[in-house]
Amino acid sequence: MSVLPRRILKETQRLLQEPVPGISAEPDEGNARYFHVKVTGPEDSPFEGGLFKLELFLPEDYPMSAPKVRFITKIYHPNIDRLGRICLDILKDKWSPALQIRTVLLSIQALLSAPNPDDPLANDVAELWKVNEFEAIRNAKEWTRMYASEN
Amino acid sequence: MPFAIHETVEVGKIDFMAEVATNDKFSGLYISTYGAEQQQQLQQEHQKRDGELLLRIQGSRGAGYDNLDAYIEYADSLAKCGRVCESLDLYAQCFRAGPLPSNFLWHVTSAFLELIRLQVADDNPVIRPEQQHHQRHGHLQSSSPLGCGVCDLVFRDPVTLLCGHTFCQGCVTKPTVVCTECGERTPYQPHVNVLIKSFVEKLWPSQWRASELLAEGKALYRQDKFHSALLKLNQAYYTGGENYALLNIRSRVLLKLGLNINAQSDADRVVQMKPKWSKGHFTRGMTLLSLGKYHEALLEFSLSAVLGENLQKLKSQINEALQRLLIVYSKDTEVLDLDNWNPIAHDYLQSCLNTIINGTYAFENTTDTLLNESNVVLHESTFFKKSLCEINTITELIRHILVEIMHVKHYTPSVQNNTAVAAAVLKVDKLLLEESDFNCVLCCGIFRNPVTTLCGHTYCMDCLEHNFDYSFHCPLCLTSLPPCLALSKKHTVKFVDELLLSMYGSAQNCSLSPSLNWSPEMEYDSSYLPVFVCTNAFPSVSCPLHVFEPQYRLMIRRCIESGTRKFAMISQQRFPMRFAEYGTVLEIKDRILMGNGCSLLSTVGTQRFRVLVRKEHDGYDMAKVQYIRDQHFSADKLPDLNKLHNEVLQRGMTWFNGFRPEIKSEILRTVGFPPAAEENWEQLDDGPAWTWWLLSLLPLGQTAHTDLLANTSILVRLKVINKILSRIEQSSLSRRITSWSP
Ligand SMILES: [Zn+2]
Ligand SMILES: [Zn+2]
Ligand SMILES: [Zn+2]
Ligand SMILES: [Zn+2]
Repeated sequence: MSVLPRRILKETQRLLQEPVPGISAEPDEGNARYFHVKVTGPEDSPFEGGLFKLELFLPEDYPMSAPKVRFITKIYHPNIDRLGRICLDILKDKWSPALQIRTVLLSIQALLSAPNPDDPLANDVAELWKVNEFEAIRNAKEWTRMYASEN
Repeated sequence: MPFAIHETVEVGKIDFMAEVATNDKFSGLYISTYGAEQQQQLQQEHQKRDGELLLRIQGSRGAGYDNLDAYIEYADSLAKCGRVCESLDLYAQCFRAGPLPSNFLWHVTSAFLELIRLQVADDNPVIRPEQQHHQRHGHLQSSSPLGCGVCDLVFRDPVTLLCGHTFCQGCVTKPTVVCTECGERTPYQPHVNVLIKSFVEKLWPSQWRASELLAEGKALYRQDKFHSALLKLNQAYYTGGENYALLNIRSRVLLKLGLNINAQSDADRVVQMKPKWSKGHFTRGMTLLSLGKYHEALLEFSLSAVLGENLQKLKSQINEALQRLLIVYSKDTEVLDLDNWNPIAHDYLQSCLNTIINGTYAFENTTDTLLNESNVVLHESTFFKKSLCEINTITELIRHILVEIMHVKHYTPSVQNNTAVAAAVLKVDKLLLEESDFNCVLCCGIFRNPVTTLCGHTYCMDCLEHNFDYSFHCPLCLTSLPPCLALSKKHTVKFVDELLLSMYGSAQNCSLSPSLNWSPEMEYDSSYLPVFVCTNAFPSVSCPLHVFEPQYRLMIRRCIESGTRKFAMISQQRFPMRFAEYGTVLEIKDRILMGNGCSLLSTVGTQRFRVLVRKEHDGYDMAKVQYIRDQHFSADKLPDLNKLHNEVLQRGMTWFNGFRPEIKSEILRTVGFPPAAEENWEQLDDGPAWTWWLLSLLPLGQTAHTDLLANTSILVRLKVINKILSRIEQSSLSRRITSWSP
């Protein structure tokens, strides 16, 4: 067991004290580097009304390495694959240690508002999104209702 | 232009000139006083010509205009050999007939400036080098460690150099950035230090606002918008109070607006606040010139020159001042009694100057007393305590000016600090700052050894170094930083250090960081060894390593910085253990740091150990270990053991010597020469070194290697080696890789 760095303590503290609207992130009881995250689907997006669960893990060399984030709730999105993995540049090569858990979650929230089918991770979803956006959005809404509704 | 010289005057004058031209004693003394040996040659050339000129003047005696030309030519000639006073004396005579245009005085102006330049260049031991260094920049000591070391004011667009010193962007040297505090060169144009800028805005808002207004005022002045400039500068004055830079610009603006008297009072204050600032003296000179105070103006320009002002810039001002003065003197003086006009009487001046140069501070002490007792401001008192206007001749004026220059040159800094400047020291009001202002974005802790990147962002030194293990980008702005800079030694930002000190005192590091950064000294637990998970290493056997993974770069850096230079080398193992139970401590012998941050290590194995506790730390593993050593044999078993030892050693060497030369040399390069058997090998903790050397070469699997590291019996080790060697000897493989070249 290694000591929890001050930075993670501070970030956790702030996440709990001043949560980002529409996002909650709570550290796991047994592992302070593992966070249970819930993101509400942004208004005016196909994900509106949904509550999406994610898991976020801070690797041992965080913040030098990006946190590992994954959707647990199934979601129909061109930049999120079947396993819930997210295609987001700041989680990969654009990561900077000056970014925080908070900024990562905000970016994910923004990704829900603005799907980017040109930089896809889920190819079939992206394809449909480009060819027939109407149907893709209908699918996304359907999935949101099926998998992400609170009841 | 009417010009006539009385016959009677002329006789005397020509006699004098003949004397001047031939009197080596006089000219030699005059020139050597100012250390101008290089002028000797020039002087000789001129002397020859002077003789001809003299003849011409004598020959054309009473010829009016022709005579004027000859006089001017002679005066210029004297000027060219640095004989300023004599040249001016002659010009004063010429001016008696009516003023000459100022361009006639070009040569004597140059000579005057040269005289002053020699004062500056004069390598006088009285002034210590560091004093000269500061003098160049117009001050002796930064009045506040929190202000700019060049302009002494609050930072305006602060930039931090490689050495950790901070200056206003406008105050750093261009195009090469060289620190005016420590002389170190910074190989880039630094960006504004955003942290320091925010501190300045928080701590000294009015001075900061005033500096903005001052900058705007300056810009307006440069655009010739003098009225608007004056409004801005007045606004700055009422916002941030007086400072010399503001008053200096305002003085120049007032001058442009024709408010000469106001201009002078501003300039007076500038010189009073910053007596060693060349630009202040220049401005004051301009204001005095505008008010017709030519004597003082010439003095101010001279001081400005001696304090380092650009001589070309000064030349036309001095030229004008000299012309005006010659007009004044030619009016006031009657026909000079040239028979008694003997410049050799200047030896009074020379003795004065010599006294100063020889290091007796006759004048300085006098003036110190004056300053202390009657609080007379420096610039208002010439050494002789005689008003400059009362001086009768231009040469006497020059004499006064030169003495004054010597005086300013030797002026001690202690007196300066007693003046009003001291009031401007920047204070830190702790209530204006919060702890979060000092937080490093990477570790969220208070800055420890803050360093600033060339893009102007500040981090703890450790945090930034660690970032560079992963990437050469600035975490905050993603600017790509040159690897050579990223890897070079960094210096803490003195300003931030200073603020931290005034906020938290010297003990801030221990008392205020209860939670931990990833700083080595904070979490360092000597009972744990850092672990390099890679391969098996063996006691006494060298092990070259290429370190490129970010977490191992950090680990190795800590090993070296902490001085232990040791880490555990353990071979990989499958999940869930990650690494084996046994390994060897490697000691770092040498490290070559490569341009991309990777390094090449030369290491050598020392003790073997068994892992007791494992933990992870900043991305690499650590282990608490127990060292293991060979058992000793009882004396009765030693002869057998000795026999086996010698057999196996011989066998091993035969096997090694059978290799093809290129394979052999490759082996030697990697693991080194075979160690000779030690005298007391049976008593050593790890047995004879050659066994490990040989084991590292033998075709054994990783697990077998680990098992051998764990084994504490030399007998078993020898037997294993023996068995493998005999197997190799039997196998056809040995025939293929040894002896026969294809
Ligand atoms: Zn400055
Ligand atoms: Zn410096
Ligand atoms: Zn830090
Ligand atoms: Zn930056």
